[in-house]
Amino acid sequence: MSSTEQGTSSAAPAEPTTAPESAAAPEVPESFYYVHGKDKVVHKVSAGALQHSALIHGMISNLGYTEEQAKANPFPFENIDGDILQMVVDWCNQHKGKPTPPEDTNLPKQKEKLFDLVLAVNYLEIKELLTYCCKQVAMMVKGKSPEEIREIWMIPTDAEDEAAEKEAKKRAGKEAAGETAAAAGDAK
Amino acid sequence: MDFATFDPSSDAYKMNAIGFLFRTGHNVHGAFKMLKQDFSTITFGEVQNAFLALKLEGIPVPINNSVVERACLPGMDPPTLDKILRILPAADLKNMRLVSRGFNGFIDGMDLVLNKVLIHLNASSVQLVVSRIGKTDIINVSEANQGSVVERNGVTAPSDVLFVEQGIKEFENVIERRNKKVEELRIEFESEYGEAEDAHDAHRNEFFRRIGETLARLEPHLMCNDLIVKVRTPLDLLPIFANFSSENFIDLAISSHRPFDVFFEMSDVVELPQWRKLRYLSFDELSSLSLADITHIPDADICTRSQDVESIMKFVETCRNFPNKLSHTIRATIDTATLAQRLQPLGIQRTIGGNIKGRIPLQWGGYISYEIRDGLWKLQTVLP
Repeated sequence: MSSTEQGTSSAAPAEPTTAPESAAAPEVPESFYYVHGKDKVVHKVSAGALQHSALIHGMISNLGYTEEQAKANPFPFENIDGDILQMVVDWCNQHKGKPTPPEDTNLPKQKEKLFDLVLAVNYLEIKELLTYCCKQVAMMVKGKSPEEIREIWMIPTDAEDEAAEKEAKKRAGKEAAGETAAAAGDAK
Repeated sequence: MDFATFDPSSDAYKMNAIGFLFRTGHNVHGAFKMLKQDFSTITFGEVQNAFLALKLEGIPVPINNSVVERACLPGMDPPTLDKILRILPAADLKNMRLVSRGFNGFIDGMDLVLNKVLIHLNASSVQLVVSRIGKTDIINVSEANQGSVVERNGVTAPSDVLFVEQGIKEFENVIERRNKKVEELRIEFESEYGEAEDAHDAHRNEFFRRIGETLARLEPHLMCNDLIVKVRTPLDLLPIFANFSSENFIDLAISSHRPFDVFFEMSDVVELPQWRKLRYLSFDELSSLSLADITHIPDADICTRSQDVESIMKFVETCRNFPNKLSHTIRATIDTATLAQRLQPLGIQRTIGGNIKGRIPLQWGGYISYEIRDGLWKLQTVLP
């Protein structure tokens, strides 16, 4: 299980509490790394659990951090919400060194959370978790009519899309015209 | 916003005024002109930079970036969206096409929906008819002096391998290109008589062996909604049926060209997860299927060995207690008189000609309607 604590910044994270020892302690002491999301809450995660993430695994390979160095330099993932990072860390810990089961029923059912999780997992390159998330999203689409899909996933219709595009173009044009006029005014 | 609470000469007041104009949809030029009246020293660049900073901060202006708006499928990156769409069965992909032009274009680019694949084997050729929305491809693989000749939509090409093997290769290519998803797979062969039949049987043996091997090799397994298959024995059926993905597999129609001398022992087939998924079954050859084997299938038409009255009564009791929409036709030897006698107290019953028809009311509303005649037992539940 991961331990979390409120940190102040990525440069000076708060001291995280120690993760509980697993029942069968490994012979070689396991190395731990620290990550934090947008909320700056620092999560202590073992290198074994982090192997699920191709991105982090690539970052920590041959890093050779000591425990102190790892603590002092948590990996900042400012683009990931704290609760989403917590979910990811929990999943990595739960599936550390285990073969991944064919189904995962613990994924969030709310579409906003699931969507954020998909983005985070995709960014962190956690292949198995991404597969589960994609399955979950697909299940939410399955059996729905096009109208229902649009409603659930806030997808605009083609007409709405065109109107929004027109509006954006109009606004951009207005701003460009304003800038040109102002530049001409400045030149005078 | 209450500007009166600010010192009009302060920077905070100026920034709030810029923020106000930004939020109310003014462009930089318009805002600059208005602000110039109150702040004589203000420059165009200052307003422009403030607008840019406000945009980057993402303050709630008419730009949509709320949490709810982010939960939007088109916001996903293409590989992830591709991954999600590939999980969906063909029917849902069709619905996704109708969601928006963007999705339709995206799915077009994925090249994965196959509506129907028909494989037709005859004595000297294999024909594949591949249908998808708005397009049908025909591939003919015919026997040749050396190997075979492949004709794809009118274009011919020679092949070194024999026509059955080449036909199955073409089938594999078709489904591999289409992400192994087929709404309906139809496998059939032509029947011959006498010596021609025996000669053709060697082709059929090879055909069913190769198709079973091909389906077993696919990873992931072929996803198919409906299978309509003509087989000779259960040995032809099992390798095909067992090597489909059980996901989305709902309809099975089996026919045989030797109706009177083959008994289909189905015990291996009913154990498969694919069987538990069935929602429709049509099997017009004599088989070992029992009522228990088809209880979960809402629409079934089978031909089986004699059914004893007790098992039928047990089945009717189950239907009364757990009403599901069912439509079953069972052709079997049944003790018609005893069954009619046992069913009579449960509802109304009348005899018309040789047919005994009746209705058994369900306690939840609706009724079970049945028909018994020599060698046939029909049951249908009508729910409110």
